[in-house]
Amino acid sequence: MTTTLEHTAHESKSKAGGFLRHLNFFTGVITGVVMAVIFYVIGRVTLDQSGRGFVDQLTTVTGVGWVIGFWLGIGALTGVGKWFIGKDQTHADEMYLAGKDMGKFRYWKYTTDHKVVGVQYVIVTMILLGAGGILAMAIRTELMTPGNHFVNPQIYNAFISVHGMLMIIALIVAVAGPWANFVVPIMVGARDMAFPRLNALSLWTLVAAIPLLLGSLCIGGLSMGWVTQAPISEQAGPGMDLFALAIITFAVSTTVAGVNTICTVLTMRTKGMTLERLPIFVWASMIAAGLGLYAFPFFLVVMSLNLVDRMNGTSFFIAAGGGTGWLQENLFWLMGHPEVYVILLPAVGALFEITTVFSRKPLFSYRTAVGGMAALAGLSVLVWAHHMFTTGWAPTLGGPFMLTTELISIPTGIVFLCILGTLWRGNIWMRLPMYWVFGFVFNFIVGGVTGIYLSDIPVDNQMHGTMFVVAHFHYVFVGSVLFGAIGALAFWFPKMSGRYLDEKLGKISFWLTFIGVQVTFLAMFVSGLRGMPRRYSSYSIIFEHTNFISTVGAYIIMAGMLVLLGAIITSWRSGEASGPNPWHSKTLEWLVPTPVPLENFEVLPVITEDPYTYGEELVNS
Amino acid sequence: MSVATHDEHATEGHHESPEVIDHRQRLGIWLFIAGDVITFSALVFTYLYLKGTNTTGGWRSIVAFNFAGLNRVQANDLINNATPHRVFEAPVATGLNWLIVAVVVVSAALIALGESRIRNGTAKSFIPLGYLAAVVALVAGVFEIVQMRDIPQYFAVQNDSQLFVHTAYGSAMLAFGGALLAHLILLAFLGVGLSVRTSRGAVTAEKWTQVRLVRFFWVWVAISTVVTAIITSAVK
Ligand code: HEM
Ligand SMILES: [Cu+2]
Repeated sequence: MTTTLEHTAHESKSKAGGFLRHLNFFTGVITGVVMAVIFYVIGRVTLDQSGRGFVDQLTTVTGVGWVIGFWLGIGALTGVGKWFIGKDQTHADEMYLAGKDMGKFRYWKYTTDHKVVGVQYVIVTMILLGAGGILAMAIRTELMTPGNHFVNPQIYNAFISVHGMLMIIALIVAVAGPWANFVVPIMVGARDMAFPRLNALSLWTLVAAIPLLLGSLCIGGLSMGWVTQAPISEQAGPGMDLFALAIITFAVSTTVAGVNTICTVLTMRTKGMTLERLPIFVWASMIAAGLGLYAFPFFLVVMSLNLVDRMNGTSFFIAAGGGTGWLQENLFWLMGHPEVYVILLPAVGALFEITTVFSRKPLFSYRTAVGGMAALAGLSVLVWAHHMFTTGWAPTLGGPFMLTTELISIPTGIVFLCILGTLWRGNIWMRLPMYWVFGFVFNFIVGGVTGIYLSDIPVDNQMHGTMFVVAHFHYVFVGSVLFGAIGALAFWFPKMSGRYLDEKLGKISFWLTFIGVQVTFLAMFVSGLRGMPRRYSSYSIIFEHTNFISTVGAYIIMAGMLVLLGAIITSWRSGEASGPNPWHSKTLEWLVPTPVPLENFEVLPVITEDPYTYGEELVNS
Repeated sequence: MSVATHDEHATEGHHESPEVIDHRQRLGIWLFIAGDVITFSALVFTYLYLKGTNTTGGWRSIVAFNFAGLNRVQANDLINNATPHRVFEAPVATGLNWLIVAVVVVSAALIALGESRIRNGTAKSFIPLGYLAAVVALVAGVFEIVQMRDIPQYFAVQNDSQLFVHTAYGSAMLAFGGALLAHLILLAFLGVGLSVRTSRGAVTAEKWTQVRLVRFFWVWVAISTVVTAIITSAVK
């Protein structure tokens, strides 16, 4: 195979793009599989088969082979190789990479245009949510009545763990992936992201991580939930190896993406686009990217240490060897809590944009909103041990961590009030994106307030490890972040596709999802308050009714999601044409034509005003 | 948002000045280094945390058979005839530890020297320096491998299952070593790449900024080895 590829590459040397002309997603998958097999065989031959870590080593080596092969086959390493031999890309090569005149097939390639990457992220997010959603429905179906019916406890736990991680990844990228890529460069008046090739790298590295995560499920999964608590994570089967490798891969992807977003905002702004005039979504994306840059190295380290414990006999998390599970928990939550704000902030930023546009009012106290988000990010690195209140780690620090956790509700409240303040006496235009804003406002109160309950140590001693915690974070993840993500989709869909997202189907989907969330998770709070532990596939008869209700609610959410999927597909194909600026918005992304031309701006704009001058025409006239 | 168009840009075309691009790339590399600093801090945290906790007195000791220096037959004898006992592990040799630091620092200095040569206009004299820096980095890597091999692995019998294990100390040292090794390989790749690029004319006295980016990273790796050596010799 290699020889034919080299041969054709030779022929087309004169054409722009060179070797990359032959590479795409499919060659990536093929090379990935081939390399995985090669690495597997080499591993079988060279590794010590009698060693305790043999299976884990072999699994990891195979997974690494897949990632490297996929990178090679899609062309992620071509630029590196060319750099090494001193043959930089020409302008024509760059234009080829950006997908110039390539048509639809550019979506299957290592394309650097930020708008293509944005669309690819939409698709990848939907795949992740779909896979996680199927697992969620399996879980809820199992929990509909007491006793075991459909899956055995091992498989149930594997479903729980992989569901959790799929959804965490899906939500990390749900807003930042599609929209920090598609709209942020246009919003700041740039022609692309700061590092277009790194942009493609982050997307395709994420894609490479997905088969690892699903593969983990196929080889037995893992039993301790997405938090991979030691020492269970030390004893788990090889599913844990692929799981850890998936996260390491994902950490690389987000780090690259985060650096790119920050550099784009700080160095690519057009004339007059001062930091004070940045649209709020740009601020939110940048703060989240910075926080991710802090958080994800811990994720990489905790998973790597877990892996070498399993493969090479180190004792980081094994008490018998002098290690400790507390180390695992500390490293994990040093990542884990900041990460929830990495997830939340872009969604809030998008909801801010929607709110000002559809209230036809300037954003309420722009500076407070930016400061609130920055304070959230700053404080979020100081609260991690609220996930460890009941573990016995450093009891004397309980008080301080309780304090910081309760303090974080202040900037949270401030950001929330800025949304309410923008709505207040606004001239509200109830189009589809606005529905999701109101849904968020309701759900986030429930999610946030129950968070404050949990930060109270005496309460947490009762609630930790129960379905109450699960209900809390589903109110923030599903009720708030996913609502923000769907709102963002409805809002920017016309820019991406040139068409409206179907309002009628969209509203049906909203009501189903909104009602479904209340039914599912309010009932789940009750299960938790009555003491139902999380991560159990069967339960006592006393939890019967609330679980049944939760399952019914989950099916309602599923119906809502399917309607939304239908709306996306039909609208993308044949929705009502929207024109370039359907919401009469004033930020830059709406002032360029739709579809957005390859380099966004023929002539770079010069900014002379704040982004949110809505309503001032009326006042002035 | 009200906008005006600006003619200057139209005549400029879509090309940005090298200064603008360099500024952007510098910020990029600093951000990557920041991420690397966090990663490194997580390892430092791990080291100090394990030392501080000293679970079951196992920081540098372990209930096991000491296998160090034995062949398979001798090891089998040991397992069959002796009961496991608490083995104490010696810390890694301070001399070797600091030797690695010295070698990495030298390689960073070579790159810095090469950079100043290029900036003074003699690009070609970078070529040997880049190769040399890469080789020196790899030498440091070899020393690091020697150090990692010196960290003993024990054979423990625990709950009827037999395992090879490292002490907490050994584990943390291996983590530092492994991370450094990965960085040194990357540095060697970059050093060789820069030299190749210079000989091909892709790096010149006018286009030298990539060398500076690599130097930033190289110096940071050198600093990290110094920090590692200080911590691991002061706390062990
Ligand atoms: C006012 C703000 C919030 C406070 C005070 C708060 C507090 C807490 C506390 C104390 C816990 C630990 C409960 C336990 O395990 O016993 C917790 C769990 C959790 N929270 Fe929040 N929270 C807040 C907002 C959020 C937000 C905005 C998100 C996500 C966007 C979130 C996601 C989570 C997750 C994922 C967990 C559970 C992790 C697990 O154990 O699997 N929280 N929260
Ligand atoms: Cu938290």
